[in-house]
Amino acid sequence: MSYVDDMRRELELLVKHHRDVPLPPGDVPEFHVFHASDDARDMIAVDGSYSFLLNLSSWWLALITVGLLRYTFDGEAFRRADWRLVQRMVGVSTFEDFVSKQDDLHRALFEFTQEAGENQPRDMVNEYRRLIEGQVAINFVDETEGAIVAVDGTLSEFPKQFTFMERLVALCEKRGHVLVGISKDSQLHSFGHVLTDEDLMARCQSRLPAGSLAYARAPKASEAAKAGLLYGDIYYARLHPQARKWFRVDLGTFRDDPNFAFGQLAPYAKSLLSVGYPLPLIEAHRMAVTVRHLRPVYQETVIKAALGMGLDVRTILDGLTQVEGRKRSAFHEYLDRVARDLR
Amino acid sequence: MKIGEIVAASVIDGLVAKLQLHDPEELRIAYPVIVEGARYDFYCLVEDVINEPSDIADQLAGSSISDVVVPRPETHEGYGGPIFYSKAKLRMIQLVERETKRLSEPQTIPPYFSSCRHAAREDVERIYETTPTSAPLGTITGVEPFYVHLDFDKLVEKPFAIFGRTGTGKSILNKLVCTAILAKDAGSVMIFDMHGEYGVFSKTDGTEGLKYFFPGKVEIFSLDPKNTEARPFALDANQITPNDLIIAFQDLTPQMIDHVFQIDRRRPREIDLVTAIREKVATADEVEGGQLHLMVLQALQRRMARFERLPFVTPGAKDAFSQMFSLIKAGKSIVLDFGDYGTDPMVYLFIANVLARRLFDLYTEHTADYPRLVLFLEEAHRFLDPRIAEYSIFSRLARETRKFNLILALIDQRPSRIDDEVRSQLANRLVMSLKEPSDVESALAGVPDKQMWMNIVAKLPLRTVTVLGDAIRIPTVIDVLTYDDLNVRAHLLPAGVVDERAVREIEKRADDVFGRG
Repeated sequence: MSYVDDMRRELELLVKHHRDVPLPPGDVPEFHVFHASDDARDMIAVDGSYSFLLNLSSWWLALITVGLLRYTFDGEAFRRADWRLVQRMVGVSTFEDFVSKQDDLHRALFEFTQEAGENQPRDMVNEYRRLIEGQVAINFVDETEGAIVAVDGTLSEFPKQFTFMERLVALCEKRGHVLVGISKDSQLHSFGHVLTDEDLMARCQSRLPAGSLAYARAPKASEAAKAGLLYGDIYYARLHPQARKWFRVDLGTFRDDPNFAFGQLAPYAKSLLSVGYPLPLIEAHRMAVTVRHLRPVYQETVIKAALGMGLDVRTILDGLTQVEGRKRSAFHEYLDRVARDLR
Repeated sequence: MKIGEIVAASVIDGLVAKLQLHDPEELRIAYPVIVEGARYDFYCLVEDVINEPSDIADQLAGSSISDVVVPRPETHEGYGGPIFYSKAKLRMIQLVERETKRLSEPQTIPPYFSSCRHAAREDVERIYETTPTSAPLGTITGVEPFYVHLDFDKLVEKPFAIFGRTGTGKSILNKLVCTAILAKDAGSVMIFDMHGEYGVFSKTDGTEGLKYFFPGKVEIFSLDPKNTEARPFALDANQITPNDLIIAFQDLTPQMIDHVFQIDRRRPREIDLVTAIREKVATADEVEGGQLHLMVLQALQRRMARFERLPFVTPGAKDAFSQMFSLIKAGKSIVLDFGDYGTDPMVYLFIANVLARRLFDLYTEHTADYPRLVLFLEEAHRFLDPRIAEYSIFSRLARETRKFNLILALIDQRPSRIDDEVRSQLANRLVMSLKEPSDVESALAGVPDKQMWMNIVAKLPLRTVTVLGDAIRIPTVIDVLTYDDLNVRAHLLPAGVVDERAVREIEKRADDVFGRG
């Protein structure tokens, strides 16, 4: 038996469970048709990114960047009205004895990500990024009123004691903002179906009137499972009739009027560049990931500073990392290169 | 207004600017742009405007999705400016030291992110200096109206050329150049006026001619006896040489040329060459000895018969050349009107070559005594084609006469057909639109940054000229002035150069001649 036979058997299984899977009855998911508003509010979009720079034993140094953009849309053009770019250099350690002597934040990050195994440094920095995103959003939205605040990802937060999301929701309610968290890709199965929620929506969307915008709320049970960490209601939305996919949208405010909230969101999903996904979030993302593009520049700064502190060049160079934290000098990297380059 | 920032730079290859313009159509090739460096303002010309290839653009173009906003610069403002933006390739032309305003050649580059803006009038004023002998030929393209001066004293020091394909406005430009030369007293001119454009009024478009603006400086001769206002032109047939015939009849075979020289060598001196050829009867010895070939001789004689139709060429006629030359020595300019003969290229080639040769002889014999004369030669390639250039006086004229005050000005649409050596003598080139790649290449041979200028010249609109040479501070693309009475008076003529009464008199006489109301 060759690998081809294996492949056939496994692929048949995949296809069967993907294509031949029975769909739920007509009222599940419960679609609601809505209309894009002709008078869109300003949108404030927040996204963050990070790049690891140096790894010395169990210590990692990373740079986190958060971009915030405020956009207006007049029906014809997306205009940038304001922006913020926040950068924070963070050091994280995965050595428990040391972490125990660190501050609350580092301890909380360590504990929250302890199950990630070798990915723990990455998860710690990622949660740190979400914290900074929340802080940046909080600072900005408190100065404005009546906008749409869109953050990347879910409206959830890690350790309870760092309640940045709770504060953001409260602030948005106070200032009259529509608060949404939009996940680029979600793997949830909240409908209990073999298909992911996003795929299920796509499979069932033929039930909708042609050319309509729609949303469907996820079963409340799935929200309940995340109680305490999730701030908002989970929806799946098609923000443009020809959107390439359904997106998970967590609605943090205006929870009693999703028609209004999604109607406000939809005009920003009209860019041909990102049909069905708000353009300001794309731009905030592009702004944030400059940290990755400019990694060599930041690493040069780190090298100079480390040399100044008396660290030897070989140690520094061996400690330089890829974006996700893997050392460039790691043996894995060497093996990958050998596998790639040798004929 | 800021239009972009520098994102790449090289002293050799030029600069690249990321544009902030919503519409790249606001920028055109050859527009002047200032790049604000740390210490210098870099005066640049736009060499190219570029929309770089983009995978995303490839994917999005032609999308059938409706009710979307297409990501154009004016509809999509990204976090760092337009998401889709254009770039401009800039060629550094001059450095202006900001503190001292001193100009220098570009030997360095501006830092990353240096601002770029359209050149303003004051930037351009720093670059182009005016002198007592300078005058404008037009306005610089891409800047608020600014009249760019050429130094006409420098222009007429050495041979120069006006190149451009048919219909681009060479004649108008030439009239402006002639007018400026006379207005600035840089020299006098001699023009072979095939189409009656340079006299008092142009017969083709009714615009004013040189005699109109400079009644006291310009004398008109005419081959056409019907033109009674001009001095009659006559040529003593005895002055004709074999080379004049070879140039006039451009299709003489090598055998015919041999026959011409042979007959010339053996003719009695009292018989002119044309008559000698026409009356030549080949002897049996000559035919048998292979010195003459009957068919060749007959073909040659048929060609010479054309001289019968030229009443101004007669043996022993009172030659107008001496009269012309006296006027030239007195500082006058000459317009030789061809009248009805202007449509016959043979006549033009013949007359131009005869007169140029005789001028050459006189100017090279007496060096400093004669005033500077600029000899304008239209259809220059017909005289300077490498195949016949050795018979023409003009290649020697281009090479040798600078020191004798006799300057050749070429006007042509096929620079590629002009002998390389002659082209290399050109100190200034006024290049209008050319499409044929070989012509573009030839017109710009030897010019620094040739590739850039080739791109520019190939895309020049009509009535626009690229001026390269020592008569202008930097190579420049100029929108040529509209040639009319108002512009010439406003920009070229010094105040009071035309006496109103004289002008009215000329107009009256011109009306009589041309029948204008």
